[in-house]
Amino acid sequence: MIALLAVGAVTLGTLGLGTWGMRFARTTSDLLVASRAVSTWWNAAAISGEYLSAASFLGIAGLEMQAGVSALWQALGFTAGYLALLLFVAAPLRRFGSYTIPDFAEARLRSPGLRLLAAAIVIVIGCFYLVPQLKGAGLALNVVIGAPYWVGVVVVGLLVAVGVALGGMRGITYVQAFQFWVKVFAISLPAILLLLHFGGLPARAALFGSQFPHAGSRGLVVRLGGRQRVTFPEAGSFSFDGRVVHVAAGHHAVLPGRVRVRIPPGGVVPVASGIVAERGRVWSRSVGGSGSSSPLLVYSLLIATFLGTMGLPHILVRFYTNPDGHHARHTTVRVLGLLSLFYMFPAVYGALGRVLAPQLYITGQTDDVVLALPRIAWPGTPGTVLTAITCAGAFAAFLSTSSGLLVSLAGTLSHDVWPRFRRELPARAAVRRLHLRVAALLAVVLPAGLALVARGLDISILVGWAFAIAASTFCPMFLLGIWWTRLTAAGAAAGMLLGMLAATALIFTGLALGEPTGGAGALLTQPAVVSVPIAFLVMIAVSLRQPAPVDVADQMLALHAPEGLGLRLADEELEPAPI
Amino acid sequence: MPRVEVLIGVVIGWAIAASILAALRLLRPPRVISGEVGAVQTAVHAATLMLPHLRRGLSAETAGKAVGHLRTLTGASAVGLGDRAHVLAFEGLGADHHHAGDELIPITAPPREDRLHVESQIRCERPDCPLGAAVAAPLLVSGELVGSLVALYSRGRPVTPDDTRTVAEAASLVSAQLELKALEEQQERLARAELRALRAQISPHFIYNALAAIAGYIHSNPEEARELLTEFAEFTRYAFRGQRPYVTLADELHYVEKYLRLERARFGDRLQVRLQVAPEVLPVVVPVLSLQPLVENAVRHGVERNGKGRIEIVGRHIDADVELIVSDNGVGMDPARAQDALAGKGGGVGIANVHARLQSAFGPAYGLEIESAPDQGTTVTMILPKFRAGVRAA
Repeated sequence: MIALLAVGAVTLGTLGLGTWGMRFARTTSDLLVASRAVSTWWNAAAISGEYLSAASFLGIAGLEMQAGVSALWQALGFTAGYLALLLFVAAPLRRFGSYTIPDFAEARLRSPGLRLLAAAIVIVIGCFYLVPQLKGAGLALNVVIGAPYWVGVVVVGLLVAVGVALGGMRGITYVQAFQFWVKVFAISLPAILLLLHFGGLPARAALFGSQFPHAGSRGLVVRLGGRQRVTFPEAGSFSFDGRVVHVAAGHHAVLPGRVRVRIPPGGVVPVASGIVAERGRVWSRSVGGSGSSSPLLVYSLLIATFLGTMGLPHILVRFYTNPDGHHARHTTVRVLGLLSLFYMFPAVYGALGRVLAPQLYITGQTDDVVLALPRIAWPGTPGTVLTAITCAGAFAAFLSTSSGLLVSLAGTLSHDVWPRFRRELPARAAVRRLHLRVAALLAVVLPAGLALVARGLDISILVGWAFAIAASTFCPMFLLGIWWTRLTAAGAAAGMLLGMLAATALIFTGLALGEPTGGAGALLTQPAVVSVPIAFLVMIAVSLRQPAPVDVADQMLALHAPEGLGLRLADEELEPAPI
Repeated sequence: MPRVEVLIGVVIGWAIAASILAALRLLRPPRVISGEVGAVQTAVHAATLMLPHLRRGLSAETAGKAVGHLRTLTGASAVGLGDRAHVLAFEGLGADHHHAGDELIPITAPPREDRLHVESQIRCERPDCPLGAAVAAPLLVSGELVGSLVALYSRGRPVTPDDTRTVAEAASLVSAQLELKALEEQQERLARAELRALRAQISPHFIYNALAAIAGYIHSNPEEARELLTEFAEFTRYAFRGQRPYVTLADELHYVEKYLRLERARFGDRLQVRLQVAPEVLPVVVPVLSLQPLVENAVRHGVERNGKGRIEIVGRHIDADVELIVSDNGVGMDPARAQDALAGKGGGVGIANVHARLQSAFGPAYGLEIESAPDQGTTVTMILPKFRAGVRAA
């Protein structure tokens, strides 16, 4: 109940700030415009707020619990992506002035066709990224009030769509900045209390030794919603209804649903199919060996996140709020700091979850660990209150990221796709606003449908794909478009298409084959290490085979000349070129 | 569970494949049907492909893009486009030794202004030149020779009356495009001249009133008077500073605030102003002096007549567009008169000029909307895109 109240408060706070926050009017006499511009700190908090999604709030801890500390590479990559953005993209892009990625593609390469292609990729990335947010929402509501999975998906999907359609994200910078601090508070407070409560990370054998996750000194009692097929990594036993079942190492068993199943004290905890139980030594290894910590997978993940961040459609539009390139760069530096602050905490939940919440291995829903841990640590009211806080944080994560994504999707549909069929934007603002609203409602349908069937996929894996596609399409277009004069529209189009095809083909092959392992498995779950070079090479090769594009010089000047030099002075008095 | 994943995989894969196919189909030029209809279609297609290039004027770049289509259109073996002295682009037979930058004369003598020039054998230094007859047609803009279109035929092929007619038609098509371009430039020049007029016009009325108001403060509040004079100086500098067709909304608002400060010196508390601009729209690029005339109008028609009033300036974003609203609670006007003001028919150049400049910079989907009724006040809404290629604040 408290959790529901907290979630409601965050939701109302968000919609309220978005709708009424801007109403605090100011008269001209008290403030000048300059002081009304958004400061770099606000901007950085807003960007971080929009960026920290369900994958960061729930997914990293869940993946860490399942696959080991190698999952923390993801947090590193999510942050390091801003380093790439800072070094190569932020300032030039802001100077260029483009608002969306399709804007940049069309203007830099002077090709309306490329705009349509970029819009299509924005839609693909947006859908891939929206699915895990909705999935997270379904899980969270399930944990909090026991509602069926689909309720959360539908409720949050509707809430976000209606919010965007009503223009609720109008004061978006302040809303997102508010959400960022909600998330930091919600993840850090329980984490710090947990560490104090347990006196630092307990040096248990399950974390570092040769043991598999095991039940605590008082045994483990779970009550499953339905029958669950599990594997015992070593010989163990479970009991229900007074019967005791012994299972040999590596053997399957079926746990019955709706009754209390008991694992004896110190007994090994079985794991749901799809999860590989790791010994503590393997679990705590950051890189090396095979499986989730294989070097190939780690590098591929780092490439995807390092290069993919700049291609996320909902992040880039936030940089528009910076007054100039200089401020864009300063904002990015602050984003790096703020994200580093946040990502200190999810690791705590993953590590403690392995020791304190082994029942999540049985159900396979390790994504729940952030929500479930406070209640396991403090079974009474304090636990409920802290769970409410983490729930509120998780909801802030779904709401902010999915609103941002949905705005991007709806904008792309109404601004890039629709006029393509009608040749021209509708002239009246009222009609245009209506289009945006309809587009927002339409754009949520497909991701919500996919989220309903994608329950079995990990949040972090889904988000990883969005990053892989962004890294194999928009990243090469940005890097080459900003830093290479020879890039042509056809080259960019070919590179983006092939990059996306390579990435999606590998991902879907992996899905079709089930759970592949070994080197090929790494490529199939995280294809960036293959698809990104493909995209770059195709772009360069196709561009070089074409004649060099003309008048790139003023584009480069617009991208790279610092403001205030007067180099881009469009000369008003210049006579038109002679006919 | 894996079976569900396969299902999702298939669905998404299918969706992606379908969208790629759709994109490819959209990008592919329409197929050409053979026969008589096909020939007409080819010609029309070539013409429509060529026209947008030449709409941008006659230069080596646009000529290079158009010349291939002109060859398809005329059916000649080679086609050259030239300005008054040189070849700008050449395509077809003999392109190995005739190319852009050559003087026109070796291909054919420059045509006279009013007629087609037919040569049965061009003068070429290369004895193995495969080209024979040539038809040169003048390109005219308002009766003035600006270039020529030359169609060349392979050696031994006689020039038929059909050929000359086709070349003449093609040349007039090209001329029409160039004429349109010239017209557009003339309009732009006109808009620029109007902007200059608008700047010079910073109404004497306002200057007089502002100075009178400042004079009123000199004894009672010299500090305030000094500040107001500084504001006035900065205001005039912004208004008269040339060379900047576009500025950021933050700059323009800054200027509007100075303007309002001066007006408030005169009206005092009888002028109420509410400014509510989302910080996210401040970096948007607007034509210089686009918001200020709207505010000045609101002061003049909304406040001055009644001696008091309220002005509201609201800026917010509709996704990739920005909406700026200036409203007053003054006497208002007939909806018909409001439309006239937008079209520039009802006296004052201000609103119509802003509208025209917005449309020429951002296209017909952007500009001003006026809503007004007698005694209901007036609301002017300006809609602009957050980004338009080539439109940047200086």
